[in-house]
Amino acid sequence: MTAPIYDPNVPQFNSDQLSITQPDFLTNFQTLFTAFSRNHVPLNEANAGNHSIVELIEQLHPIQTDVSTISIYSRPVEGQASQLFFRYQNNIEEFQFTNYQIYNLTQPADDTLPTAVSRYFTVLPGGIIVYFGFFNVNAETLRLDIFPQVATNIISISTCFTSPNLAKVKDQQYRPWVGTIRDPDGVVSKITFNSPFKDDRMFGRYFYLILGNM
Amino acid sequence: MVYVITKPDSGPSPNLDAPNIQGNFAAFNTSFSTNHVAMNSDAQGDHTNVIFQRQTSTPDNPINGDILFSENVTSKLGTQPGLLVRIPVFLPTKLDPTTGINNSAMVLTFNQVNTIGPNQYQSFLIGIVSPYLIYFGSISGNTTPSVIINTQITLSPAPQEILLAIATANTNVSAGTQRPFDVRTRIDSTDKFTISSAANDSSGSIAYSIGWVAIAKA
Repeated sequence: MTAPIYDPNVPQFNSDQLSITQPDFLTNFQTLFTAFSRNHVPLNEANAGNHSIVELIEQLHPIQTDVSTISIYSRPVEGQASQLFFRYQNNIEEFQFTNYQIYNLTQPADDTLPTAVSRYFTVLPGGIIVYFGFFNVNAETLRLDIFPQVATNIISISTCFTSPNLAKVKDQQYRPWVGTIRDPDGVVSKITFNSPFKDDRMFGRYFYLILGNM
Repeated sequence: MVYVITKPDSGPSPNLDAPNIQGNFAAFNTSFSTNHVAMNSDAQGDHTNVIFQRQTSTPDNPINGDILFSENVTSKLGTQPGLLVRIPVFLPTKLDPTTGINNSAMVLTFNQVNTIGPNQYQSFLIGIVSPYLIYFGSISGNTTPSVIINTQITLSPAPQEILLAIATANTNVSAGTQRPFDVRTRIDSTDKFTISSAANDSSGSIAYSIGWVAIAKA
């Protein structure tokens, strides 16, 4: 049985009698009901009109906005799935609000171990990816692998020495400076820690906060 | 007015259903005016606002697009409705071979921000299951020669776990080699961390300022 189709042209004046167009009326009402029930609390329930969910069908072009409106919609992003986009009033440049697909990375079973590394990531509007956690710099480990390896440009790297022993002074002049390693496919996969003092003056656990774009 | 899905019916007198037909149109108009620009207005059909009814489970995403919805989000503060988005799953890719993502919805909001300060500010970052909280602020004062600065920061609202605490001195040592204060942090508990610095070493008392950023699980 095919789904009923809404007909905006019934009833017609003079040519249709109500007794004849009754089925069309009923069909239109039922079609309206079914259509409205998508994404909305149904018409015959309390709070009808409120939204249950909002499905944003992917748009191929930015949505037009006038002086008093803003728009949220979804658009395809190369290498990803649809993402949320915003466009503020008066058709100013749209921006990408969500980015990538956040998931949980494996964390160390024992984060007190000298070899432990923690990795987290999130995103910021504008196609920004944010990596953060802690990392131990030692003689064997002078590079940090970041995940997911999708950033083509690292904008900033901040680190801070962390220690359970607050009396242990780590002189600022011995802190490592950081660099990046870019893979042949163009993405940055590693952060490097560099210092002429490759000893306890440099070694230790550091928090890191890395911002990049994709 | 109540919307009646079975009217008009093919009863003995269609004229009896005239009030029902009018009632359905009236009920539709009223319901449509909720969240939408009303019928017969300019831009009818556009949204004025979007009120989300909280969902009891994460909806599927069968469309070619994204789904916005509201669901309970649990954090250290308790359980509150949040705004979430579910995008179509696209992993694994050539660059990211991660599998088993399950297309978890991303939590877009947290129901509290602090933009007033004065010493500590807080906002939120998109997360899975619960959002991340980002806090930032600064400490300041005057150094005491040979006395280490130890200032404990208590994050508010209290998070589940501090994942990162970075501090950076905005002040240079006044004697010898010009270099910024050394600064380190230590996480003390789920909502507290300490900023520590040898400050101006044994040199005279100077004013100092140290900025900090912390990220935590909500």
